[in-house]
Amino acid sequence: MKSILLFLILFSSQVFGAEFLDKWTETLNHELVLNCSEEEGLCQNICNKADQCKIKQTTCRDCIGTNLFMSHIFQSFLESYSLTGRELSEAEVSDYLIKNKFVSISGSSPFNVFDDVGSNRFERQLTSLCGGMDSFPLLLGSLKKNGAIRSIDFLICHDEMGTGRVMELSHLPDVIIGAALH
Amino acid sequence: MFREILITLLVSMAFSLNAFSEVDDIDDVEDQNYWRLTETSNHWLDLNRLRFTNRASCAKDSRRPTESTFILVDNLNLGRSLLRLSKRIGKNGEFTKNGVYRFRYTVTALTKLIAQELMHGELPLLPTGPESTFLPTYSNILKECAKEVGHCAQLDDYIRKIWETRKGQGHSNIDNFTGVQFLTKSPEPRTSCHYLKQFSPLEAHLYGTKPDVDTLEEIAKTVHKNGDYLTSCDDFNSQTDLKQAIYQLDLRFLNSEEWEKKGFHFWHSLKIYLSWAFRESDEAMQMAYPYGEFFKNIDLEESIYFFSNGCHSLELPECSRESLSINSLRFLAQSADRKELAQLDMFSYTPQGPSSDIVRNDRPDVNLDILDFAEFESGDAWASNFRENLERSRGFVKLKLSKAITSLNLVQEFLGVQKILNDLEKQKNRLISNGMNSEEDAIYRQELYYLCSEFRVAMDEKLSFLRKDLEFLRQQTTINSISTSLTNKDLNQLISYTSELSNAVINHCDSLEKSKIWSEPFIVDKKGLAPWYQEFARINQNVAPHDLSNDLVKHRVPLLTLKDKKNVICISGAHCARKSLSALIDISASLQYIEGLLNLSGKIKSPDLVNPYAERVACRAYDPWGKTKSTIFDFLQNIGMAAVSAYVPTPIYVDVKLANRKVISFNQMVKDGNVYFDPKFDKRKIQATLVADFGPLLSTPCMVTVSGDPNARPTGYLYLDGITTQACHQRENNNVNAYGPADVQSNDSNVTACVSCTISLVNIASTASTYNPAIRPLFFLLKGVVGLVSNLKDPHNFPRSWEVDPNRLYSSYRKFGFIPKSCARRIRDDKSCLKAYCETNIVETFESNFKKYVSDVTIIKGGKSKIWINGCDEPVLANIPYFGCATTKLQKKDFEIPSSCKHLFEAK
Repeated sequence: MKSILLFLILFSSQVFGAEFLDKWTETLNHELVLNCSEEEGLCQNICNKADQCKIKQTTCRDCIGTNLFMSHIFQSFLESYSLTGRELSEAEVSDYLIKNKFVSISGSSPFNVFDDVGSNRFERQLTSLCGGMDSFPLLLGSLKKNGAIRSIDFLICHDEMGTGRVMELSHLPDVIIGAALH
Repeated sequence: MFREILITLLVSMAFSLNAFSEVDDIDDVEDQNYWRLTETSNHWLDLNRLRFTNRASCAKDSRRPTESTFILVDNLNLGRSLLRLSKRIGKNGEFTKNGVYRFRYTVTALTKLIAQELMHGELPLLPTGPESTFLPTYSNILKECAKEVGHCAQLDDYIRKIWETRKGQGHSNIDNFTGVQFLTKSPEPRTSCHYLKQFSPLEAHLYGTKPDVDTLEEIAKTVHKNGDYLTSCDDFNSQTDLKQAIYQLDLRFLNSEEWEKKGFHFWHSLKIYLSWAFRESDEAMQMAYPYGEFFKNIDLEESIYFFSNGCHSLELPECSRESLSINSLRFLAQSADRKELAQLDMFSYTPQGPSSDIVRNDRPDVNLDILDFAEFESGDAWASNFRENLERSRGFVKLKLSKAITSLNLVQEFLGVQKILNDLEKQKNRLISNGMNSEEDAIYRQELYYLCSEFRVAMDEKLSFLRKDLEFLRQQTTINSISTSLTNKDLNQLISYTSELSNAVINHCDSLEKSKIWSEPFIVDKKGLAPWYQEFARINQNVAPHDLSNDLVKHRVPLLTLKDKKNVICISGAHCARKSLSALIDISASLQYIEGLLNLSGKIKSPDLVNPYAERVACRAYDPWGKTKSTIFDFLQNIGMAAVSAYVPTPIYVDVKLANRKVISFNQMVKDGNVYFDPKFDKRKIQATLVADFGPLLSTPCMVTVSGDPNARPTGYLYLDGITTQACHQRENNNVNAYGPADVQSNDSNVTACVSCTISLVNIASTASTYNPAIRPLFFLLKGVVGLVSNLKDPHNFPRSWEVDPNRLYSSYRKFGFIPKSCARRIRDDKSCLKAYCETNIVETFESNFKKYVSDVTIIKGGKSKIWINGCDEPVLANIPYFGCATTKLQKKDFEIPSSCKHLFEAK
């Protein structure tokens, strides 16, 4: 049932052909790199280039730390979030990335100070939400004016072609509600 | 005025009494012109004086700003993060190690830079408390910032403007800054920063009160080998542990009067500037290069702690939950195994709160190595223990809070009140119709019993211990913000839901009782009660709580399950309701110590770790002047009685004593989203005793005493008491109404009056005094003096302090090869103790100006005295006048450094 839903989400939606990469540069700047197919308009919209945008991310205040919010993300993600089933359109993605201060968090993010360095537990959790494939999942969260995370809003899953889809997250997990006692 | 003179007199008498045995000369040391210990330490020790205090003095000092602080840097998270990053960008282990060192360097160097700029009057002070209103913009920003958790963007903008205009005159355009907000530049303000390799006698003031000769000698030996115990903050070769480090930052601000007034503002400002500058200033970017951009993401306030090196404080202690919970980190800094830690109030299901420690223990130890420094082989080992305890405790509270908010949110979102009630109703009907015979029914009966017991205790209109907490919770902005960030839902919504659920459950319980489902035969299996209930009701703690979930899940489909992980959230209506209640209790419990454990305010924490009297004085549980006041009161009373009895001879007299007020509990109140405590005292303030000495009148050796205090013996100082018989009337029986240990009152307070008759074996004195009016005043005078002397012998409760300059102490040690007994007093008074004052003058001036230890001195009055130092074959020459060598103020220019040794004096 779950696989069917994900299949429907991933293949019935608009494709705007961009790969999303979470990157740390040599100078230790944090970037979100968008690799676009030339004919698509996402990169054009965001940085006025056809094939690639490198969006420098601002400081994610307190993200290297074990505060309550970071613990919540890295230690109980599946217990706290689920996909709403809505996928963002190209215009919505451009709008979000242009208008917001945001942070991207990948499965191997240096912001994860909760797992051992060799562990890919968190990556597996994100991958399972993406449908279990080799999807290079990436979280997108918005930042407050002071640079601290306000909320985790979207999960980006990639298909086999490396094309990313931006999925909306719900602040409630998927649950099964049992019937009242007979 | 008279009172102040008397206090000064008493304190100096107290000093004198303790110093009778010491002689203030050094003639017991054989005449000696050369220095015994010529091999000196090559490391000049730039530390502040060590201030030794007794209990009362330490308590008093908590209201004064410190000039020396420890800085604990916890970089474990940074290390983990750098390691992940290094793998991402293809760097090796050196990248991580250098990153950790660069972080430590940035923290310590930036702290020093800010301290220096504040001390030089280049950066303005950002006042704390009422004085913040002098700066209207700043004051308004603080009010706005109080509404949110964590860093405040408005404050950041404000600091940025100040930082950009520092060293200039532009501050007045930003706010109403005047000279009041600046420290006056003193002649030689300085800062020194040391990495602590090992705790040593250089922290002897944290290990004991008055330092004896042995202690002084140990300190001197440590100065001699100071390189083994500490080194400069940027000596990273010595810092092998990459997880944490502990540093000592000393300030010397010579305008001490101004420091007393502005020291707390200084530390408050330093922490605010540091938080901002670490992330935003160019200076920090340069110090942190090439890691600067990455470091901006660190939760700095979670990574560093300042705590005073002594009894003085960094911030004026308040009787607030934030202040008390931060101070409770003291328990985590001590050496304790996990089992001992688990016993702490902060880990219990229904904690009493951080104020309970004050009620339980109003006279804790102080200055007796209460942080267990001596139990660890290195500074890193101590810091590691503290960091690990802190990490574990943080993890515990975070998990508890996060789980509680999440599960309460899920039950409310997906089940609401109605679905739970439907299930409860069906459960009840099933039990009644089935006859309650099956194994499944037995479990349901138990579960319903638990449900009703737990909700009645927690939420019933009359019985509730939680209801008052809920109203309290609603007013706190902190928890609301946490709840919103985790669930997008205000905590008030979750509280309202639980209240609604409780009303429904309690009504349901009434109907269950009417249905007699727990009529005989029914035995409660107490193991299944919620852990918080078992703790609250003090049910046998040896039996581990047993969650019925596993038993229930065999019989039915759970009401709520997580889809992905198949985690059962709750099974039946009763189970879901109980889980909701437990979650609310967990939220309430987590909040008790949350400010201490988590970084909610966005401020660097500065707990009073070494001084447990900081909060006791702030909460009025200990008065440093209490003993002094009561001694004056006693003394004056006896003087008064002496005066009265000289004119009105009577066998009846009154003895009045000021009682020590004891805090028995605290009222809580919320102000601007913060919780403050107001102490409630036992009612006794004055103990009055009426004494009628019938001996001389009735020819019976009986003296009748009427008092509120069963221990009252007003004449006990003078009499050898005989046999006493006593009867007391009590106001009421011992019916104690208490919600917890904090509310239990001392039984003594119920005593209204005691009558005792002492068959005095030495009644003669009193008898004689009655018949001779000249003797009776003498009797009271003598009683007053004996009482005074006896009180002054109290080693703890009269403020006493001693100050030792480690370098002056070290010069005495080098001079004599040991610390002569006759030097102890002088050294404890922060003075040098050499053979001659002239020599003292030369050595002190030379050493303090050139930061080099003298190895020998040859005094040539009226000529050029010779000063020898290690590493230099020629002497430094000092121009000393023939007369007044001891009193002439020497200057740096009076010393001639030989050209062959100038390199030793060049700044590195």
